[in-house]
Amino acid sequence: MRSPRPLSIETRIKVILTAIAMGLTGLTVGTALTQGFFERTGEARLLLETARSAASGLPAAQVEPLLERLRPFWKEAPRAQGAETVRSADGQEWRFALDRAAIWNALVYRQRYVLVAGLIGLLVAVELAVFLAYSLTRPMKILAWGCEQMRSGRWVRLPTLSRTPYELEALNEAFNGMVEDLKRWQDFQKQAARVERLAALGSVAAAVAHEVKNPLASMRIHLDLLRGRLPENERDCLEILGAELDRLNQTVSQLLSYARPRPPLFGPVDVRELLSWTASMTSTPCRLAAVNLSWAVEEGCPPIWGDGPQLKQVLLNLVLNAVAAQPDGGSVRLEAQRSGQNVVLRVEDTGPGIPAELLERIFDPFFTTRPEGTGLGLSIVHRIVEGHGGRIDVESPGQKTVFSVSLPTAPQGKKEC
Amino acid sequence: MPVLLLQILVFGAYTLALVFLAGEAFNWKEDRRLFYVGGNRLTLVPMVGTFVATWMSAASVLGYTMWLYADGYVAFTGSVNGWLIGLLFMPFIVRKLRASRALSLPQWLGDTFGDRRLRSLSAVALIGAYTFYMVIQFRAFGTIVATLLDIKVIVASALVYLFVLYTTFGGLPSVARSDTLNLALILGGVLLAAGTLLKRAGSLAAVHAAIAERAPAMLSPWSEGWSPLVTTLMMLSWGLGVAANPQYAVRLLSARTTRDAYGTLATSSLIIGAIYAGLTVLGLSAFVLFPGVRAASDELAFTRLFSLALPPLPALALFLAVLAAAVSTANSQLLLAACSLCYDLSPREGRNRGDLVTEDRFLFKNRLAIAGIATAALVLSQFRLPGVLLIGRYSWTVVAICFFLPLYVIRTPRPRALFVPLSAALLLHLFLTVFLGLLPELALLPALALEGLLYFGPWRKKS
Repeated sequence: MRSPRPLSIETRIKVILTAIAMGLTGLTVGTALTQGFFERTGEARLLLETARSAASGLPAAQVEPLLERLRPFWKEAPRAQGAETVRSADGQEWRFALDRAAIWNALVYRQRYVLVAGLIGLLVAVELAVFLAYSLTRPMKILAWGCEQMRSGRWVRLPTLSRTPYELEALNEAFNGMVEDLKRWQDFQKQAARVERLAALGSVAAAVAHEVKNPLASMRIHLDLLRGRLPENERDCLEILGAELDRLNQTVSQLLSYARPRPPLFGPVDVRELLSWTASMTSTPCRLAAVNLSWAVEEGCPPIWGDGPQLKQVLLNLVLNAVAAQPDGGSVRLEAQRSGQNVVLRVEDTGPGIPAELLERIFDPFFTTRPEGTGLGLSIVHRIVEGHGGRIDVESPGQKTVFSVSLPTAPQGKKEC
Repeated sequence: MPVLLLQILVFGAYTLALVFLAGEAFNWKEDRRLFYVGGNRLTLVPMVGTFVATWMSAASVLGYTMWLYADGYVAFTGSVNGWLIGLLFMPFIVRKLRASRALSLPQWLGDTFGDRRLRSLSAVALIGAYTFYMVIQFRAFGTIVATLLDIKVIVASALVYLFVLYTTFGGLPSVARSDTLNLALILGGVLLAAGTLLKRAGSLAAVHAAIAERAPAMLSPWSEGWSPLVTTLMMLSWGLGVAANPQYAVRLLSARTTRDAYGTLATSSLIIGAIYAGLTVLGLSAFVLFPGVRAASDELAFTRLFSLALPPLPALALFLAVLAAAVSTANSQLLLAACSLCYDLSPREGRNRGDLVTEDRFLFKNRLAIAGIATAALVLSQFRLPGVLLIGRYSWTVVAICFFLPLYVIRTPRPRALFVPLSAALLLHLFLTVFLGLLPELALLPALALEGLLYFGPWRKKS
């Protein structure tokens, strides 16, 4: 059997305030009515006593108008026990009983505004209860909603509510703090898992690459030796073989440089020279793909503290990626500007963009959407940037993609290390 | 027990019943659909409760009874008959309305004709019509209670104002629950009072015989002052107004199923018939037993007449029925007016619910609007405005101009084609009533004709 639903805060507050309002009204009106009743009864008795003593000295004819004054509170009564008697000087008797109903009626009429005010007070108390309950339950409701959102995997930040008691505001802030900590913890766990995964992958890749690289070098030497012995018309096959061997060697080198990166050799790197080199190195692929490459360096941009060849590889990989993303032409914009203690290098293309669901995975090794890609280019970029203590961000709002690489500037007076 | 004390205790009991039976004002999981149309989940019993209780306004209970007391059956022909004709129209719009999933009738209108302006125009018309109609409810109850308890009208009106506010804060679910209680009070009060009075008068036949002897014209369904044509036109206008009234349309939208909506119309018509029969008995019997009771207003005359004609308890039950009728109609109108103001006139408010925080803010805005509109109606109720039925006539005719044609006549709506005809019709109605002094019901028909002509006219653009 289902247990009955517990009472809500609104109902509880309503009951309490209604009871208070009713109690106060009952007490006020009850006291006023009771006190009034006793006062009226006393007045009535005094009136009767006055009439009785006056009537005892007057004839019946003169007593009648006197008795009229008793009417509002006394009614004529038959001979019965408890009836009050008024006797005239000539012996005529009138019997009266206290008209309690008339007294009550008069009293209630007199107190009618108090009664209606009590009724209004009751309603006002209820309306207040409703709003009091609302102001209390509103933050809780939002908190419960936040918990539900979190349970279903959506990170939410609760809004700051106006006119909320500070205790509930503290609850709200505690929830938001908890969400931020959880998010940081989740990011950290993701990062740790990624590092662990990459380390394992790197070890395997390094071993494999090392084992493959030596036979490849040997094959290359023997191929070159073989070239001199073959007739001219058969050398084409060797050319193809040689090109494929070079490609294989490049892939293995990339893999090795990813798996066992050499530590960066830090020194000041001139940003303008870096961008200029990248532009010249990528001019041919850009021309072939009908991509317009432009670049700009902010006036007064300081040098980067990093490894020049590694940073060149970063920009080269990013620009070549951008070119590959626009096979039907487009544009690539390369920019450098200072941002606080960092220099931000931006590579922006006008390609189709990266779907939101893929954004998180593009820096994973071997993740690629191009059939000819190795999936190592962006992983190497990521690793180099991290090795420089920098940060790489990617945004892809629709028809463009922007990679922003933030790297520390060269400290004043430092040469190379 | 003093009658005055009894009356206050009964009002107190009504207050407690309303507070604890009408449920919570703030639902834990509320959104705009729940607030405006009960989440489209109202079952037959609350549907019938809210439909009939909303139908039975103070104008019905008090205005009709006093008109009947003064002029006889012409009151039936000129008002109730028209309202019942309106009820007969309603089954024809059930499916049409329920197919839209709109939250308000202005929204339905705007969506159907693809015209945001129509939604805004009809929303403005509704806010005006309902605010003034609420004045009737506040004034009727205020006058009755002020007379009964010998207190100032503003104090008595404040009571009904608070009742209405409380029940409306919870949206349609709260309105429907309180309306079910109100319907029980209306039905019980009217039938008890009618039974008591009929017993005093002997029988309905005896009442008729007495009227035939004293004022035979009262038994005629046609007025001596108005030609049968005018009476028929008035009747028809009331009918069109009721048929197109968003109060009922919204309730048809709120039903859980289409079957419930049809069931509500069928069951409600029986209960409404029983209540009108009771009111008819009351008006005619009161005329036979206590003719010639006159007062400055219908409300005052009603109070004096039935305080005189009925013993304290049935009289109290009848006055409580007027209170219930006033509360149940006012809260429904208040909710619709707030909906028009906060939802239909706010272009940024979408049909679908936002997240919880957005919904919460939106509904809080609605509650502020409810308090604002109710306060405006309370203030207006203290001014000298036309009689109960006249305000009703203005309100319903404006509503009929806005919604009758699109609901019942136009089968294939043409995008953005109704705004000009509707505006022209409203302007014509305003001109005929305010400047030429025509009765609102009579001005309705040319206004509707103009609206139809401009919409269906041969010069219209082919879409």
